[in-house]
Amino acid sequence: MTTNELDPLIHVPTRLKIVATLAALPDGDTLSFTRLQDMIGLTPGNLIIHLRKLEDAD
Amino acid sequence: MSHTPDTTTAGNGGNFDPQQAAALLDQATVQARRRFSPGPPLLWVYRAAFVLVAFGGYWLSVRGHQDPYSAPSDGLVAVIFALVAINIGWSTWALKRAGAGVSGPAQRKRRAWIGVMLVAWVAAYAFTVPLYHASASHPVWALYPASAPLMIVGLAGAATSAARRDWPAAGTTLAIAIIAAVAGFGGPAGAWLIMGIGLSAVCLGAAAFKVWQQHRSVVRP
Repeated sequence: MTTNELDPLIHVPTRLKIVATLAALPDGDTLSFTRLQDMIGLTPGNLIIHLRKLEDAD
Repeated sequence: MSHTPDTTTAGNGGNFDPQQAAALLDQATVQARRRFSPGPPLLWVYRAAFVLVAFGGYWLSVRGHQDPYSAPSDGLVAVIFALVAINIGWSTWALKRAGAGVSGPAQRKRRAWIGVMLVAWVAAYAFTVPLYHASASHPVWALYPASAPLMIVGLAGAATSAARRDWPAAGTTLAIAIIAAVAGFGGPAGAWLIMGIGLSAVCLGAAAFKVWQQHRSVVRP
């Protein structure tokens, strides 16, 4: 993949927002599910699906 | 709370192109930084106005030759207490909002830092009580509360911020300590004016830095 191509895993808008939000945390800190849900504005079910896709990519 | 539609099956994000991805990444990062920030720029602007009114008001009450010294009016003292209460309330709210749902080493260090700063504030101002009981002379009595507490608090803040590698906070608190040290040379009246103008400038600088820090791009051109 070149730098001009999008990764279908991470460049879905919602997952990009999730990753950007978590990356803004100080090193080593963690964020609760409910706060992340509040910041991204997703239903719990949708957020879980997005998080699992990111987790499975590890 | 608005909910965005389910995009789990969006594949490559529909019409999402790299430029839009970069813009969204920056936008989401700015929003997250803003919501995790315990010191929003507007709070620093308020602090700039607050210290200018508080220290400037004191300077207006003590400037010129006063014998005997007349204390600031009750009205000014009431205004200062109200401004202090607003600052404490706003700062507490901003801290709670930023730290909601966040846990980890940075949060623990921040809580420890706040504890150290509270002790430094109390210790620095508690020393005015024995000064009062010892019938300290007017220059001592005027100079100490104007500059010494913030020199102590500033140095304590700079040392503890440097220890946790929070360089912006270390720079801000060191600037406060330097201004307090310089203000000591301003005399019993001038110290209040130097503190008011100097601290206000530091707070405005901190507000400008916060704006830059929150809005700097994470995308390389």
